[in-house]
Amino acid sequence: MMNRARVMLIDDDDDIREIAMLVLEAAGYDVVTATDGIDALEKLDTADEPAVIVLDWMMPRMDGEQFLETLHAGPNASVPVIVLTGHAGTGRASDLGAAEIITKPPELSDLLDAVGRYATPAEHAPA
Amino acid sequence: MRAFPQPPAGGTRIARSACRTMESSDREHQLSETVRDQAHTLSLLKATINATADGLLVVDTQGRVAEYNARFLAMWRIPEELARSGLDARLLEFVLDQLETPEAFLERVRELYDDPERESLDVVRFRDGRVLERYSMPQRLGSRIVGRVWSFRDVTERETLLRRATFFADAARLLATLDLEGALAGVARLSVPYLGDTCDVTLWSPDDRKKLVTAASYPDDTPPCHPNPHSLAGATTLYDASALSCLGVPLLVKGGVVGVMTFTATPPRRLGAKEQEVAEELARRTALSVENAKLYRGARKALDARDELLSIAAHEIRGPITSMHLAVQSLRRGLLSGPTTSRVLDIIEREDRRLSRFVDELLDLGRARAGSLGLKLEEVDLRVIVEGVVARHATEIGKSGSPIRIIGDAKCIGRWDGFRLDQLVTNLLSNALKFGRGKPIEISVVARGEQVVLAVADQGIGIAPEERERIWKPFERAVSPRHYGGLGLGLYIVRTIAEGLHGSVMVASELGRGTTFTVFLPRRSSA
Repeated sequence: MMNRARVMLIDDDDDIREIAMLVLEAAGYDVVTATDGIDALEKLDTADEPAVIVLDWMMPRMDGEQFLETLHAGPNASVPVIVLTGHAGTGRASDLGAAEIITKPPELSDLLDAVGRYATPAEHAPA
Repeated sequence: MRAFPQPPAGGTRIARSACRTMESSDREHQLSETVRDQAHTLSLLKATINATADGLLVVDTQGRVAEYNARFLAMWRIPEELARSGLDARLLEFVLDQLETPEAFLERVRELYDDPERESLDVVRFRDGRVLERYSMPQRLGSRIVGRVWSFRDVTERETLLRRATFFADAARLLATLDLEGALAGVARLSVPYLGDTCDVTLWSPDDRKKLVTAASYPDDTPPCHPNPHSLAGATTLYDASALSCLGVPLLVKGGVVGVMTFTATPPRRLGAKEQEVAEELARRTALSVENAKLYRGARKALDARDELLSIAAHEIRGPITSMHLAVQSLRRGLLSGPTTSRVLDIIEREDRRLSRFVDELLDLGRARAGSLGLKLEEVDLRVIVEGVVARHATEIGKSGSPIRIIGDAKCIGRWDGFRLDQLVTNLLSNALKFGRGKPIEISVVARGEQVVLAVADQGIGIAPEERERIWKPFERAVSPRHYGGLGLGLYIVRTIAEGLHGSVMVASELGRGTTFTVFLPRRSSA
């Protein structure tokens, strides 16, 4: 569903979170960040539903796998998830219904294209 | 055969009488010779029976003892009076207690008596270790069976060697596995009844005798075994316990006792030198198997640790590379401009340092393992080092949410390696920030005479008691690397540096309440 420009970015690495946020914001998205799965679920509870989630796989407290399982069992199950991982366990992400899987380090164009398939940047959004 | 003289045909009465007299005399003579021959034969038979090395017993079809020799009585320890009673059933009853498997022995005897034509060859095992070869065949008078002959030959030596060879071959097969528990259970089972009526194998951790690694016993309902203190000290021991004859054999690995094999026997059986000799060899082979299994586990663990290291290293390298990759591409595409450009350059610089630190950590691991950290001693103020580390990590401290408080003496001068001490404090602080859950962290630096004490205390997740030894080893961590990144070298390097400076480090922790690492350093290290 390409109806909103909000992207949720979940990664425990401060620098990856910061640069990805800068890039996505510059591309016209409204970005909300979370440091791990638990943080993300809390924010999903209180904020508007994002058009797409960009999810790291290896994280403290609640990792990508646990987050996907929990997400798909809850009210935000329909939000597409792009898994961004350097970890070999991408098969599991696919099994758990990840919309796309991008290997780290990603090409900037690949990341923007993937996000663009599920969310419309603000400058292109209908008035 | 001798021919008798015939009377002449048509002779006189006298002549015929003379002939009859001669005939009678010859018959007496012949009878006497026959009796002599029989006595000779009987004597020869008796002498042969008594001179043979085999034990012989002849029983008639009515179950009466027809013949036996002295060797038979000696072999079966049967009193002469009992043998003279003449009843085979009484002899059987008398000998049963001496046998390893009396039921099987009796069964075989019954089978043979029920089938008089049958010949048989087998072995009979005694509880005292002797083995007799038993041969049995029918006694015939013409075509009629009138009894059964039993012949017993002592083949103890041959059987001992054969059984020992078979026993060790079976033991070798059981021990040629990495399933230590299964192997020990198999060895315990194999040892009964050969080395005792029960067998118990207990194995401890080489580092801690209170820590049971595994235990096996046969039969399964054998009561828990308390190994003999002498065996625990490394000596094979024959002893009595609660009317049982016992044998304790230590399992020795590189001179250290890692376990004990205990065999017991119920009277009248007594364990002795023969069992001891075999049990010692079995224990030697078992200990070798234990050592092999340990080496295999160690190798497997090292391979797993290496795989994990590679996985974590890949993760640790991919993080900064991802940031730099996105940063460089966004700059190249002109996606970012103005003040954000400066933020992106900061990110690139930070990631560059992060990668350098990572490489340094890997190199330090190699140096620490080689014992060559290359300490350069100089006059250093530990308080200044602590303050410098805290100042340098202001960004990370801010992000962690943990406020830092430095307490203690304003000056703590000593002769140390400033660079390595900085690394030690950095690792402890990073650890506290990582696991401190954003709660306050306190660093204290206190001088106590010739010693300085540095303590870093967080109020974080804490370390479980069983993990507190492991955290000091390289690539070990108390939590999953899936959840907390890093190579797991930080505390290993802390300990290496502390010990390199002739100091020490200890940890005190409570799960969910926090952890305090305390480093003790002599002011003047001679490193």
